[in-house]
Amino acid sequence: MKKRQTGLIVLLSVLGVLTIFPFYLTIVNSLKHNLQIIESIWFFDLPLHFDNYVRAGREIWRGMLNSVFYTTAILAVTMVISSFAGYAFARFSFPGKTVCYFGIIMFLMIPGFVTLIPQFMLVKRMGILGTRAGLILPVIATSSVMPVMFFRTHFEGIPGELFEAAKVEGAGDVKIFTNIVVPLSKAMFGTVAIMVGLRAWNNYIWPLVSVSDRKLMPVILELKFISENAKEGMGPVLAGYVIASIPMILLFALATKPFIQGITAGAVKA
Amino acid sequence: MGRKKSLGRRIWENRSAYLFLIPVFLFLFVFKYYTFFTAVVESFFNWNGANVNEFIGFDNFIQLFSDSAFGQSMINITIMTLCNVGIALTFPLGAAMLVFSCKNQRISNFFKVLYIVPMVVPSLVVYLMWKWIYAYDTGALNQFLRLAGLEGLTHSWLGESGTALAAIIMIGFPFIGAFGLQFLVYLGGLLDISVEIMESATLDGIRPMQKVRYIWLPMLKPQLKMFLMLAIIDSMQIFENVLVLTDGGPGRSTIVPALYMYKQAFTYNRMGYASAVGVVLFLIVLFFTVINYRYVNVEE
Repeated sequence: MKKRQTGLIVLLSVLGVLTIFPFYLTIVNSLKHNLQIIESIWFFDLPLHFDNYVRAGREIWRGMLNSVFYTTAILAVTMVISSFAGYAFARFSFPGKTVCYFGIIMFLMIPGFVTLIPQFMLVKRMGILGTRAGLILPVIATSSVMPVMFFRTHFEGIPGELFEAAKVEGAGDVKIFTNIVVPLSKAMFGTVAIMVGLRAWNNYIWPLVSVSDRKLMPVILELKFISENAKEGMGPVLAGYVIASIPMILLFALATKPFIQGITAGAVKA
Repeated sequence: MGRKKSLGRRIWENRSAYLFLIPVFLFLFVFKYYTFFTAVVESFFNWNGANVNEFIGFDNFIQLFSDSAFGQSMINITIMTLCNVGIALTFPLGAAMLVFSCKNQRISNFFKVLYIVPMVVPSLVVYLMWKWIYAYDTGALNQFLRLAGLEGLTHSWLGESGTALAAIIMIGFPFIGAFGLQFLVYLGGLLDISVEIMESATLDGIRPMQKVRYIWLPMLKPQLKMFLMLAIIDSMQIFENVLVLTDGGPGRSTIVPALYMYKQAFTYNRMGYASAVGVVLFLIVLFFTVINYRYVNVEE
């Protein structure tokens, strides 16, 4: 038995090393200049060139700020509207419920790029193509679909007596939502926030086709402006990759526990 | 009091439900229903996004079926889908089983977090990192092969038509982090298996492989079905990685339908034709969804 557990841990470690290795390589080489990279890519090498981060930061600082702004806006609105909808489906049996629900989750099976072209034309006609609003609003629509499903499933699991009791006390629906449902669903909100936040931060195609003004670009697009040169080589480019990854790693670090618990406890119902 | 309330009364009683739904539907109506409807309609038009917009019936679709680039993109996406389905149903599942089998809570927690770290790195960054790993003279993969004395196996991985598609598929190896959600959901499914089942099985002296075969896999059937479906739908949308890594090349060796659509629309302004590509893809996804509903989801 003991032997088997040891073998297991060895296997887990091998998979772990393979999983992490590309990220390790990126970090190691983000601290080198060209000659150091050419010499060997496998290990850290002195001196550590933090100036790569300075140069990368100079190119993408605005993109970072933009991305933080876009992601926050998308996240905030998506969380509110999708939890509202999830609540409506979970607590009420109103005429048209099935149709409404299908009308939302049907977008899970419509590939996003199918609506890309009309969305482009629509946003152009609305006069917001290449503006902050044009970058945020359509993404909210797309990213609300999946959370509605998650929130509904989760809210349905809250015992009905809680709601009845609150109703007897004279609490309105909004009050019940803010004072009972939200506090009881913190882990679920955390889980959904990570998934929506990741998608918003990662969003590449929509900004690619809709923004041409560099001042408005999210960091994911701005990465291409960090160029290689003879002295520093890939160093600053890799440093840019690391910088662009930090905010989501921070968000994740804040909510790792509720996220892992949320997902493993069946947030995603099969 | 009547046994059945009138429709109007039931709507009035549930008025707050509708109010809660208004915001989400506002967004969906503007940016989703309208655009989807337009996409379907325009697939029957010769549309350049500006001054040309004439109805041409099924011409786009007819042309599509004799378009060899589109044909190649369908072949490529089929290969990628088969591989992704295979990957999504094995690597994250295997990792979940290994972590679940680990008796030491702290060690298993450590690996749980370690495996999902790649999930939080922006996907574009992951693609760019692998592009660098695959590079011919400076890339880590070829450098490793040279170190190992396997000089003959080095390739310009993304630059040769023989290896480009496989190189794209292999990104994210060993595929746990890239499928972090799957990994966690499988793990959750295993944690759900009641302790009694496990204990009685252990008492009966079941061997590890039997445990996997007769308890774990059957219990995880709902999750496996869901991810089979999701792997197909997600694979149909493959796009960003190809755009960033090879732009469909060399030649047409890695072209995929979504990228083909993107190019038709934004490079050649053939918006109607591109819409037709989108509609065909949608129909394929719909087909698999229906199959899944009717023939796979028998219980529940």
